[in-house]
Amino acid sequence: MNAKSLGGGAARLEVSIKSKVYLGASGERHDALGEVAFALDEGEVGAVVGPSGCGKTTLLRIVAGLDARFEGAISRRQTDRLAVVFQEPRLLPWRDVEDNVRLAAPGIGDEELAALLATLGLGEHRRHFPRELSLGLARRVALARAMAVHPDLLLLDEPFASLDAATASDLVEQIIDLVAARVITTLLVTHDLEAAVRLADVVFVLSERPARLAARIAISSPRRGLTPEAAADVTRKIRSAQ
Amino acid sequence: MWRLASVGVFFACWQIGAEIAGPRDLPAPIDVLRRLAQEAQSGALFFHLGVTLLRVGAAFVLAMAIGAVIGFAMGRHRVADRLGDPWLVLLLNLPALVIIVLAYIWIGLNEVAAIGAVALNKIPNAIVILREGARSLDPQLDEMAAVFRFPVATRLRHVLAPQLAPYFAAAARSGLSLVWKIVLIVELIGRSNGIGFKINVAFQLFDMTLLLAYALPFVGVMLAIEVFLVQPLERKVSRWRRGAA
Repeated sequence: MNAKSLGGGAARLEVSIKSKVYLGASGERHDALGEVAFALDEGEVGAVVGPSGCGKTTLLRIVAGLDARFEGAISRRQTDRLAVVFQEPRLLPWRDVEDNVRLAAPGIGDEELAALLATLGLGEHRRHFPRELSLGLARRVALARAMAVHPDLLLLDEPFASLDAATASDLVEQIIDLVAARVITTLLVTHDLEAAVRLADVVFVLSERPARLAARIAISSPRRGLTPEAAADVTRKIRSAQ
Repeated sequence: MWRLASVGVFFACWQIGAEIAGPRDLPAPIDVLRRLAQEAQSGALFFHLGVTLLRVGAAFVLAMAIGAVIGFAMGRHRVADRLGDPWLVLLLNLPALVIIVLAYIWIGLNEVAAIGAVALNKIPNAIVILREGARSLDPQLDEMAAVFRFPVATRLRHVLAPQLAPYFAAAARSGLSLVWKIVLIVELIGRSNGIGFKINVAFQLFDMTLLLAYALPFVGVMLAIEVFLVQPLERKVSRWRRGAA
């Protein structure tokens, strides 16, 4: 493992993983990740896609600093504020929506909090407890919590998993708005190719487990400016690279 | 309503039993109440009740504090668990009476031995419950707190404490009922005051009226603590679970 600090250049995140191995209960090796290297510039949105179980979430956990047992290095600026939206919303069940956000961002003002919750359609749920929320709403609370800390680097782990198409589409739009408004370098892990193409500036395609970086596909059109034909073309490229 | 009826049935059975057994073996409720009033009037009842409650409180706080710290450490760290487990098994299987007698022999017939012996009887029980609590802590919430850089105090108060609270409440509830029963034995064997001491005096005099006059109010106080303090506290710390899917 190696966590490096980046200087003041354009790169906000550099991932250079040589390998990641899990040891089983009886000491057997399970290769989770092979060589994966890429970089994201300031404000850039990168999407990591790949087959189920190829190691996407493992990659995100390494970038988040939650797993330090790997060969390679993750470089990001020491001063950067990190926020993660986990696949499971990971809200405190004994705290309501507002408290869940406020505990992560104690300095947030009442007005800013109210505006953030309203933007994400959570205005009327601010005093609800997590058990009273649907998965889609709980994910929005997790997104609100992440945005409340004013992150420089945002990591999203399968934010659209288990959501119906309409809810997932709404969430994509909201993430586009939030990320664009604040210039946040974002790394998204998803199996939803359509969402990846809509959100990302660059898509990193991983191979089967142990995942290696199979392709890097840049999306030149601005978000929302991508025609259906162009989106279908990019999706086709991603599929053929997998 | 049903509870009141149940209490009424209890006193009726007691009265019938008293008439069958006679006052030497089972005095009538009214005789016990009269004796209780006499002891209360002289102040003796409150003195002995107070002394016993202080011992219960001291032993309970000591046992819960030590048991919680050790239980948490054993639940979170495998080495601590492996080191502590044989001691835990030994203490769990050591009869309360053996611990009490050993404490009196080694430390002397004093308060330290009395309270220490009671606490030592409760500590393994608290350790087992809090160890389970620590084992069941959600690692996902730990990671969330780490990512969002929750300060230590915030983690303790808002992430750890609510998860451990139901276990702490369960340990407190079972602990209180265990502690007050053992305190009476400790007092009976080696103290010159307290409800246990008075029960010993009553036993030596074969005075059933005196025995019941001291035992019943003490049981009443412990029940009141359980119903009006411990149970509401348990409900409060678990209220966020209500209605959970």
